Amino acid sequence: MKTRFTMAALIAASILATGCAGGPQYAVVASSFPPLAADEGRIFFFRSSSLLGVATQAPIRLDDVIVGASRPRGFFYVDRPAGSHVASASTEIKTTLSFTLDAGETKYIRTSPGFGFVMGRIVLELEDPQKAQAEIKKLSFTGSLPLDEE
Amino acid sequence: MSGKLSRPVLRGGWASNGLSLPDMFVGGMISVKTEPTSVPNAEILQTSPVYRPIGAILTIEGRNMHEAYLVVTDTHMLIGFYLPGKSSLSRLPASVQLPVEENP
Repeated sequence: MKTRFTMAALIAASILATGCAGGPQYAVVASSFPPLAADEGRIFFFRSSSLLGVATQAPIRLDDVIVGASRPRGFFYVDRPAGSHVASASTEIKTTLSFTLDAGETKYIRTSPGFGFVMGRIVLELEDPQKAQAEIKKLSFTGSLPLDEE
Repeated sequence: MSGKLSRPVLRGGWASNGLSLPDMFVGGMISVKTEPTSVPNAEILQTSPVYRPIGAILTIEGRNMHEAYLVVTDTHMLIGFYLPGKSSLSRLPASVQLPVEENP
């Protein structure tokens, strides 16, 4: 009985470990984020949930281009021209979020697992900047850092 | 664009002045501070002014999620939501009178 419980705990821990995002913490990479171009805004995608729906992960598209993935305890950002944009994620169904981005503005999009008929879906929602910034500081960066100029 | 309007979701800051947005599903009231904003859709401009929330995120959730601004007449009737990500108007089935709190 004890052995079975230990095995179950080890299996759960390994699932959690492989499902969650790995990567440097926000404090380590934040200073590397380049300044915004004059006509662009920045969009952070983040996912705070860990145990709930850990197996539900999906690529995130912005204006039909894959820009990253929704992974537990991970975040990434993209810079885009000011204007109208649509973020989307597809599992068994496609969910979308339409929004506008001003020049110099930073928006935060929370991705979280939701229930579906066969498999989970990814819910996209705009989040209050103050709340999002507090949560992102505890997450791992899953994006790409700019290359150092030689 | 017109169609069934689902629940408006307000996140972020709250203000005691400005337009009060009725929560049409719960029956309570939500206060949101707004400012007039320009939109690229000329048809909407001819209908009513569009107000953008300040310090708050307003979205409407239907089959998908959309950032939303308020479309309010000069007599404080909410006639729908402007979706800036889609540059389109989502009209309410019936206009809703909004109580307005004056700035102190």
